[in-house]
Formats: sequence, C-alpha cells, structure tokens
Amino acid sequence: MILDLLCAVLLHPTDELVHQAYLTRSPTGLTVELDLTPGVLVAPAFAHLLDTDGDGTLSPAEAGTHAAAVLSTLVADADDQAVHLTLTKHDYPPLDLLSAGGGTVTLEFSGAVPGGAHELRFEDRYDPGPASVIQMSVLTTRDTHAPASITHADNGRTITLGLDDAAATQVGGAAMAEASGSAMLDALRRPLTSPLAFLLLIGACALLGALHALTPGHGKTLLAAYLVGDQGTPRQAVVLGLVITCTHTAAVLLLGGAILVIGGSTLPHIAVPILTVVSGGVVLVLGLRLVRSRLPRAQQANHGHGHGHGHGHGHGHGISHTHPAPDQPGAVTVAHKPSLRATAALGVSAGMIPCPEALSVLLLAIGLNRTALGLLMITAFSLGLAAVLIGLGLLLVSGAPLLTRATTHRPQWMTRHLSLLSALVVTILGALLATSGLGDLLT
Amino acid sequence: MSHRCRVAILAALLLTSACAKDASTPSDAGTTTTVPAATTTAAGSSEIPPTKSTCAPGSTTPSTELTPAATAGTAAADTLTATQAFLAGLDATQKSTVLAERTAANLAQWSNLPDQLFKRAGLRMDTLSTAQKTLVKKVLESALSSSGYAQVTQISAADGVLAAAGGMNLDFGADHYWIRVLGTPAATGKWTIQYGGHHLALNITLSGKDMTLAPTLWGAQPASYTAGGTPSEPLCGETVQAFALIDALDATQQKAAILTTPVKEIVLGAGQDGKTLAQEGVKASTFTSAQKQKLLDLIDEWITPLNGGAAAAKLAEAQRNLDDTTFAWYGATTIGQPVYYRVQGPTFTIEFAHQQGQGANAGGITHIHSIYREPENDYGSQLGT
Repeated sequence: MILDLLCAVLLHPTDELVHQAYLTRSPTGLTVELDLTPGVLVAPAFAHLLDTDGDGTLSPAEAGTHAAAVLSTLVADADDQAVHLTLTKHDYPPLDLLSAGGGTVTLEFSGAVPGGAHELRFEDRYDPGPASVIQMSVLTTRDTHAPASITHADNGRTITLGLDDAAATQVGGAAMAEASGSAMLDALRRPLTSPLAFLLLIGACALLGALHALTPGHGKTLLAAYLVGDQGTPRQAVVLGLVITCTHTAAVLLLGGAILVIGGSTLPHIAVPILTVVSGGVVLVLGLRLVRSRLPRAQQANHGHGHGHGHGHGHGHGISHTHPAPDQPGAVTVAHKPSLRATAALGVSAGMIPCPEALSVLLLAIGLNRTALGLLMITAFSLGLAAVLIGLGLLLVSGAPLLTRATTHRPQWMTRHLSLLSALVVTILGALLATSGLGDLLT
Repeated sequence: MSHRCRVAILAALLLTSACAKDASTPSDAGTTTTVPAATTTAAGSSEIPPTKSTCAPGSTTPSTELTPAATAGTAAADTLTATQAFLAGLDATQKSTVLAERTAANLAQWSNLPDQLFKRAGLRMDTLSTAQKTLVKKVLESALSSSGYAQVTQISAADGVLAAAGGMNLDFGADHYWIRVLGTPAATGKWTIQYGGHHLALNITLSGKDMTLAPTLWGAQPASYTAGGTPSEPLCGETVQAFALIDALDATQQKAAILTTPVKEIVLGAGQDGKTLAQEGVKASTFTSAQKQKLLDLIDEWITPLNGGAAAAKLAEAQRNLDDTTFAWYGATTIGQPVYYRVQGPTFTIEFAHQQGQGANAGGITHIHSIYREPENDYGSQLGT
C-alpha cells in the first residue's frame, strides 16, 4: 500500500507539459489562446529552453523570441485561404516560478477570417518536447455562435470548425433586424472588384438603411406622435427626419471614435444609458411643455365655452400657437406650429442613441483598415434611413388634413383631445426613456 | 433592458406603431450542437427522480436526500450565522488575514497545486486552534450537504495519506487547507467563502438566500484509500455513474460521445475563469428514458454536494434542460480504466479527468482532477440580479 502511494507521488503527472489551445471565433476573425503549463519534473528543462542566455531571468527579448517561435508553428486557414495570425498578448511568469512548475505561459494570437467562410482549420505544431500533451477546445461567448461542427484530428494537433452556424436559423423580427447589420459586415470584409461593385455596395447600404429604419427604434414613434399631434407641415417632417438621421449618424461616429480612443468594450454600456437618460429628459421636458400648452384648449372643449374671438401669442420656449375661437369654423384645425428649434431639439433627442449595427460596421471598418469605405457605407445607410423617416413624416402630415376633413362634422373635443393625447404620448415616451436609461446606469 | 427592448415597449404605446418585437434578444445559439445527430430515438419523461451511486459500501460518500426547496434560504442563513461565529472566534490579526475584498483577482486566487507551487491567502487550518477548526467545520457543514462535506474531508484526508507516503515534498497535507472570506458576510449583498488546498478549491458564493458552488475543483490522490480501517473514495459516485452512463449508450451514441483525440486533463481548471466551452459529444436529446435517468444520476453527483435546498433548485433546472445537455468521453469504457469525461448543460459544465500522462507516470485512476462550473454564473455572477 505504502509502496503504491510512494509510486503515486513520484509518478505524479508532473512530468508532462500540458499544452491547451482555446479557440474563439468572433464576428471578425479567430483568436487562439495557448496555455503552456509544465509539470514539476519537466519545468526546469522548459524554463531553460526559454532562458536562452542562461542568466536565470526571462527578458522581454527572450519572451519575444519564444512567442515568435511558437507563432511560426501555427497554421490557420479558412476554406483553404490562409488566415494570418499575429501575436496579440503574452504573459510569461517569473522564470523561477516557471522552473518550479508553478507557472503557466499564456500566448494569444488573432487573425481576420474572410467573411462567408464555411470551414476554419487550425493546426498547432509547437512541440517543446516529448513530455508535452496538447488539447484543443472551442470557446463560445455571448456574441458568438458555437460552430456547427467541431472535428479533432492529428492526435489533437488539428481542429476544424464548421462555420455554417445558427445565425441563419433565427426567425421573425430578430432575423430581419440582424440582417442589415450582418449584410453590411460581410460586404465590408469582401474586397471590391470594380466601380460597379462599389456603386452596388453603396446602393445596397442605402436600401439596408431604409429597411433598417422599419425595425424598432430611430424615433419613429416620437416622430409620429409629434407630427400628428401638432399637425405639422411637410417642412417640419423633412427637418425632423433629417435631424434624427444626422444625429444618429453623428452619434455613431462619435461613439465609435471614443471607443477607439479610450478603448474597451464597456464604453457603449456606459455611454448608451447616459445618452438614453439625456434623450429621455429632453423629450420629457418638451412633452410637458406641449401638454401645458394644449391642456387649456382641451379643457375649453370639455367645458364647452368660448371666447367668441381668437388671439395669438408666443411663449418664448420655441412653441408658438394661436387660439381661434372654438365655435368658429376651422377651430379644429388650430394652428399650433412648433418652431424649428423645438423640432430640431426633438430630432436630436430621438436620434442620439446609436444603433449597434451601424456602430459595429464602423468599428469593423476601422479594424480592417477600410475606414473610408466604412464611412461611406454608414453615410449611405443613413441616407436610406432618412428617406424612410422623411417619407413616414410626410405621410403623417399629409394624413392630418384628411383627418381634419373627416372630423369636421364630428365633436370638436375629439380632435382637440387628439392633440393633447399626442403630447401626453411624447411625455410618456420621454419619461420611460429616461427611467429606463437611469435603470441601466444604476445596474 | 436593451435599447431595442425599450423602443419596442415605447412603440407599443402608440396605436399607430407597428414595430416588430425586440430584435436584439440574445439567441440561444450557445446550445447549438457541435456533433452529428445520433440516430437513437429520443424518449423519456420530464420528471426523473435521481438515484444514488452504487459504490461499494464504505467507499462512497453518504447518500443525502434533497431537502425541500423551501429550506434553501435556511441553509444560506445557517451559513451566514456559522461564518459570523467563525469570524467572531478569531483574533484581530486573524480576522484581517481571513477577510478580503471580493475582487476578481481575489476570487481567482485558487489552484489545484500544493502550497509550494501556488501562493494562497487567508488562514491555513494548521494555524487554527481546535475551537476555531470546529467553527470552520460548522461553516462547511452549513453550506454543503452531508455528502458534500464528507467529500471535502475525504479529499483532505487523502492528501494526508499522500503526504504520509513520503516522496516529493511540495508542502501539502491533510491540514494544509485554507479558508478565506471575500466580501462582507451579510443577509444581503454577495460574498464568497473560499476553502481549498491541494486537489480542492471550494468557492461558496452567497447572495441572500441563493448559493452556488461554482467554480469548485474536486481532486483526489489517492482516489481511494483505507484510513483507520475505513475505505474511502471521495469521487466514487462521479466515477461509477459516468461509466454506467457510457456503458448504457448504444454503439452510435458511443461513437458520437467519444472524442477522437486525447483529452487527459480538465480544460477549464484553475486560471480559466470566464471561458465557456462549445458543446461536444452526444446530445442527451437522443437518449432513451433509461439513459436520461443515468445522465441525471451523474449530474446529481455533481450538484448535490451543495446544501439540499439550493441543490434541489439547480437539479430541477438541469432536469428541465436535459435535452440540451451533451456528454463527451475519452478513454476505455470499462470501469477501472483511466478516462476523461465532460457533461455540459445550459447551466453547468462538468469535467472529470484521470491523470493519465505519458507511460506509467500518471497515477491513472488513482489520481483525479475535476471541475464544476456554471457558465455565466461562476462566483454567483448572476445571483441577486
């Protein structure tokens, strides 16, 4: 019994170097983390291998030499097209700890994978000696799908991932919303072969922007509530649509720039809730002002009394209106025009929260060294977005006169209350946005 | 709440809105299978009671019945009380040594290695008085089931047996186990008790009435031994139930389960926090009722070291997700041979590896490394949210 245990101690698996490879596929490429953990008995030899000048310490040059040697043994390809890996991170423990068998060398390599690839193969030929054992594993993250298949071969030194993953199996609205972003990302990865291809790409981006505008967001509800309630003019519809689009595009560019300058993936998680709170606050204030200005007229309608005269005045807060006598013809088509400043403020509020798809396209474009193309694509995307928003706005304002005519012979309180109702909706939207953003910030 | 979700809710307020539903809800693609589908017809009931292992009498951890879920909060409260009593039993220096901030770096400070190869923090058991050791025992007994606590004592006793056998002195032994408390023990807020040493790393995280053991490293060397005339095998159930399952699979299922290249060490051991493995192996959705029962029995072995109430909830969750669970294997399918296996469900990842190494230099079935993790919930990251 004792002899067996003694053997167990002496024959502890401290005489092997565990070589673990962790592969993570991201939307933009492949990351490979190699962890090299030598056991107690083989650790001195492995440390000696790294300490080329034999001074008992590991200099940056020695670490770099070793990392480069490891890199030279790695091969990755996607559909037989080489994936160029570069060293992105390395961590070497102190040599004495490594030599004692208490340390792990960690190396990270990354490379861009061509869009649309069906198969990704990775081969690791690094071999620090006969006592090493290699294991390859595939990791998933919240943002990446598991590969459709994983095939190990070559005694664990080669792994092949099937990339026809589950993204295409999403259904309904989710698939529609993802489509525009992913199509743009794929287009960004593909090289352009001709001017016609370039034009087609830009046109496609504009179309995708138009389709994307139909997905949730982008201030459509606000636009609808505001224009319907105020019986806005075509000019206001155009201004509101353009301001929302310009603000949205600017927000994407600014936040993308900030991420690049400051770095880190947490920035959007902080910036977006802050923008949401600010946006909600502005909308809430505007909504309250609208309610305050429209409430008296609604109450007037409720009480059924009139002045027998009309008057007009400005409140100096950007929203001017007139009060025709309620019993006069045309009272329901009360002129209640917001100023351009108020319209612009609302447009800025509605557009200041950037959508993640556009932001991803911009960041990927910069990452792929195709910033100019990315900017053009974002611009085209935004123009498509603007076209839909403006079209929607024009539809709404042209629909208002029809509504007016249709309700000329109906109770006046109904039409007056429509105006108040829309103001209340704007207010509620603002309050919900601000509360939601605040909740995100607190959590 | 995501931006799109907010917009979707807002849109619903307007009668004129026809917006689609939230488009950014994360897909559950993480459960996408990574293996060809097996051909066995899926079957099985949704309510399968776990059964216990069939280890030889005296060599297995005591069986424990799950306590009702209603008592989950009691265990957390008992653990809090026991921890506060333990802290009260320390002098000022000991208290400042055992308490630390609950930072990511402190949470990750655990290892499978003996003390000479890894610097631990907190208080080591051999520095405590008998009374203080009793208080630590009460902490562990409160947080763990009786079988879980027995597993801990048997693993540390095995280390004593290993140390007594002589050989390379890497500073390990039955009392070379450390306790540390990260965060402030309280009825609200998140805090963690770490207890571990060579071949053991318990991370017990509490948040109100909720508890988790993820990640916990269970090891054993020797994997079975006799001390004081009593045979012990701390990871017996985890071994026996796994062989029972692989042997219950048909040829097609076994082919899907068995990995084609060697895996001889756990993949998500110490230092691998935050990683989630893509699923490999055979899908449990292809299992028959009897096979699902065996899978559930195996999962039960890994979840029930936690106290009964909390374990019951986790076991019920694992049972609900049984069809989305995969089982992978490397090695012979005859018990007594060194193997590696992995069980992955949406809420847990289990790995078990006999240390096989090269030639005879491994220990084989006498030496086990294993890990229990909860993707997205290690150190209770999802508790209280």
